[in-house]
Amino acid sequence: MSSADVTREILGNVPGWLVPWFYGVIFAAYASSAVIFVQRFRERRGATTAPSDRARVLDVIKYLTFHQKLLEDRFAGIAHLCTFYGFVALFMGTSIVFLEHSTPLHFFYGAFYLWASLFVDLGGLVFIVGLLMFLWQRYVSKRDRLLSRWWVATLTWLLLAIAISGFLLEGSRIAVDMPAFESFSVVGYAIAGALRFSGVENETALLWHRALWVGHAVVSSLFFALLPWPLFSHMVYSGASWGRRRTRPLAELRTSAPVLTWIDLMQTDACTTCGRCNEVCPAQAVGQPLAPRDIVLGIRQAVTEAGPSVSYADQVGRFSHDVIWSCTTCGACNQTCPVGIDVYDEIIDLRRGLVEQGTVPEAAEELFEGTAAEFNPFHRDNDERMDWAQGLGLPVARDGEAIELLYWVGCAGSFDPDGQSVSRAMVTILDHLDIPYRILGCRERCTGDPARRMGEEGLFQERARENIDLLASHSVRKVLTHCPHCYNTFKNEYPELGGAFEVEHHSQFLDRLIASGKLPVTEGGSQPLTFHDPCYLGRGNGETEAPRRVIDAVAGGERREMARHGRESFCCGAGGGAMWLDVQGKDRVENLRVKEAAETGARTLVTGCPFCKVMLESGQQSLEDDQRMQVKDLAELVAERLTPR
Amino acid sequence: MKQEILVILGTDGRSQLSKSDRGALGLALSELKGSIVACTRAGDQDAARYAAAAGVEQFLEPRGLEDCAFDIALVGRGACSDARDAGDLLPAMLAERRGAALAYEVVDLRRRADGLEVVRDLGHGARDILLVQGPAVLVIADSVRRTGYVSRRRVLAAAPKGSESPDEASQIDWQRTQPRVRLSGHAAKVQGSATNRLNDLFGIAITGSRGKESNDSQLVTGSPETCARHLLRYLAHHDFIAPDRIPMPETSHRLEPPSEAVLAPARPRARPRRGPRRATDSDQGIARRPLPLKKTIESRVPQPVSGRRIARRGPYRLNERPEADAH
Repeated sequence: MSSADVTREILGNVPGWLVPWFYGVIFAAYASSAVIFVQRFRERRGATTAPSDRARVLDVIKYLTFHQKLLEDRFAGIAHLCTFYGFVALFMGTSIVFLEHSTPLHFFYGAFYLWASLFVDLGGLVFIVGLLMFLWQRYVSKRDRLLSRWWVATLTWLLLAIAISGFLLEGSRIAVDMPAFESFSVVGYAIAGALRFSGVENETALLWHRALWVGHAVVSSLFFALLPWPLFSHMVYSGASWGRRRTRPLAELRTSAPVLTWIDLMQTDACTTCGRCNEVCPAQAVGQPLAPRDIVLGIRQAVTEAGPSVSYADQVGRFSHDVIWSCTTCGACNQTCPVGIDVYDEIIDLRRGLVEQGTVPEAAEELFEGTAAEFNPFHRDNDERMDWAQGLGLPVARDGEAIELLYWVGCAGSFDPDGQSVSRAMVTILDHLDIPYRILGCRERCTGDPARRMGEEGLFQERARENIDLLASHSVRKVLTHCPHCYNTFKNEYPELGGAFEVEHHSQFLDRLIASGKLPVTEGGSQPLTFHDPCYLGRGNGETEAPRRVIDAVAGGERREMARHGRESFCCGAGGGAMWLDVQGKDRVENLRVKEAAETGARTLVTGCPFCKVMLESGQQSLEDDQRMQVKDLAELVAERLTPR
Repeated sequence: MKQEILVILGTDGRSQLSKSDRGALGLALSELKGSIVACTRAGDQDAARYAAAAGVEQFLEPRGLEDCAFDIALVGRGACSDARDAGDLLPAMLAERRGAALAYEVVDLRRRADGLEVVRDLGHGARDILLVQGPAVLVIADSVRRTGYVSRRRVLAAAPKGSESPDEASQIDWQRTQPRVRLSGHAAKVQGSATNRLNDLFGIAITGSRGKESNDSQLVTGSPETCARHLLRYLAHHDFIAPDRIPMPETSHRLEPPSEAVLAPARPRARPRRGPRRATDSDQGIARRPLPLKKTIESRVPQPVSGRRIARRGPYRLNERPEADAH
């Protein structure tokens, strides 16, 4: 047998009159999808649509090739990896057949035919394995996070139908004459053998082949026609969505107006409804009404029904207000989303809209009033800001005095008893260091972080401008703060408003000084400790190691890690104004977190945020007496271990 | 029949409106259907701006109160705080002049077919419900069930008729976003910056230079007279000239002279001073006190207050209604 004979007839056994129909239907399906995609693109295009940034393009290629983001959930990641590469192999096989049949090119014979057949068959097998894994997690292991709507599994079933009908089609074709070289089509050859073994004759095989061909053509056309549909369209949008994902720190907000952007629209189309965002959402974990996926799907629905310029009322009307106010802005949903959807910004935009509409919860209104009138969210007279420092003789900056190092105490550090103890510890350390630092005393005002997270952008900018002006009047060179929220605001959000200051969180400050030997400390204590990563420090700004190094330097006991730590840490329940809003759920976020901490067996729970400290302290009430831990801030831990000079 | 609703409100020494004043406006806007007129002290720009931001379009000078034929007047505490404006006698004087019912400590009201249902707070958890028919003067309590929040962005952007344009520097900037959706239909009507598009989206009509123009074309135009008047006001504001040197603008209608006791004549705008106090300054209205810290601070039991603890976690207070939190 010559190599030219090692091939097969394309569209053999298919009636001639059916071929033009086949091409017609396939092209119609393609064309309808293409028209919808182009129309959508034109509707939503903007001046910044082109992902021209080379780094972003490379990032998308890496994302698609290695699936590193999807593999964070091992089972689902492997399932997608198999499906993706299986699909690629089958698509390549179909393209080869198309080129051979419809163009003057002639290459589909001999060794190429054999190896291509093997490649496509193995690809198809992997494809089916991936799809079966998806179906397994939906119908057998029944993962909670998966959306239980009828249409969600249609993509999987349709792809499975395409793959199985393709293999049966191949098997029935081979079964007619069973050529030995077709053994390279491993799956098709096995099916053909089984057909022959079960007594299928040539005529029957040909009949089956014709029927299966029609069935395969129909489901394939259907697949292409359905591509612009929700879920199907993730195959087109997910790469683009990932390429346009937020690259700035997770905790950073921009002053962008709450108007749907084309990125928002594209990202809602890219949602695969996988539910990873729901799985990591603290509000969802305690039974509060927020489900981040529902926010994305709700906006998608609004856009689908009302068009891209959907009114804000249409968007908000789809959610109960408690849904919008449940978010703790921890950013876990953003971080875990496999297609890079910015749910965090969507929720803040919804809040901004609610504030503009004037429909905010009473607790939010009180916080806004406090921040506007008293310059702090605790609704305390700002003149009481220095009460915590009575008798400490702190160096309050004089008007216009140039400041080398400004210790920014923050509102929690000034007004909350738990926060005040952190401030005192910081003062102890600073005094021990004997370095010239200043505080602003009663001139310090809220950075505006809680107001901004609750959607009061105007109030935030008002406070921000005042603070920036004040700091500029002192020519502040460096800001030191023990509050990750203040840290994040100074580091990421004030620069956009003209206030670029060097800022350090106290964990970084302490780590730097301990490492350089300028802050001598004595290791002590033998009890095990664990560290709770504040969202605005760890996930939000990527600082997870400095606090751990500080703990290791001063704590004699073993440092144990909670199940969720570092960037994958779990929220304490305070962020995004949730400390004030307190939407009711079945449990409390802080209770879940302290239970995780208690499971490590630690006796001391260390954190680096005064708000976290309040919440974790509050969560202790939910523990048994013998599980309760001491909650300490890093500064308190260090202040206890200072080596006398 | 369309009713005339009068809302009288005023800021405190720190340019802040009390809950009562905001509640008066909120109740008027949400519960009462009619033509709403806001009355603020002369020169009380912050109160006027708040009212304009909340959606009030008609304003009345205090001297006009004498002839105002209102059906319902809602009075905030801030409006009664200035002794020059008759102080806390103001509601009583208004009620007497109009022959209206007078109720204090009003926390809620609802329109009914046969009149107005008014809920008063009697203290210690007790309330009574009155049915008011005919003209009424209602003084709103601080524990009012408030409806509606007016964002700072709206307040800073608003400029009531006849007042100064909002200060450009104090305005909120939305990042200039590209028009990322096709400018068809709604969006096409509002070209320009994100701020303008957002204003349009929320139906905020802004007068002054930050109106519908693009951010790039904010030109201030004015006649020589206007410019001169602004200059004089600027000079008076900074104490370069006496306020009474500012000539009053000619108006098409003649204002009646103020009555002897009801309200004081208009005063130039006075803002709370932020610098160190002078010996002649009063204690009121100064947000900040001189530094450094007091050397001897009397011992004070710290209030056990934290963010968590001040949050509303307990049962509803007696003066709150569960449906108030429905959202």
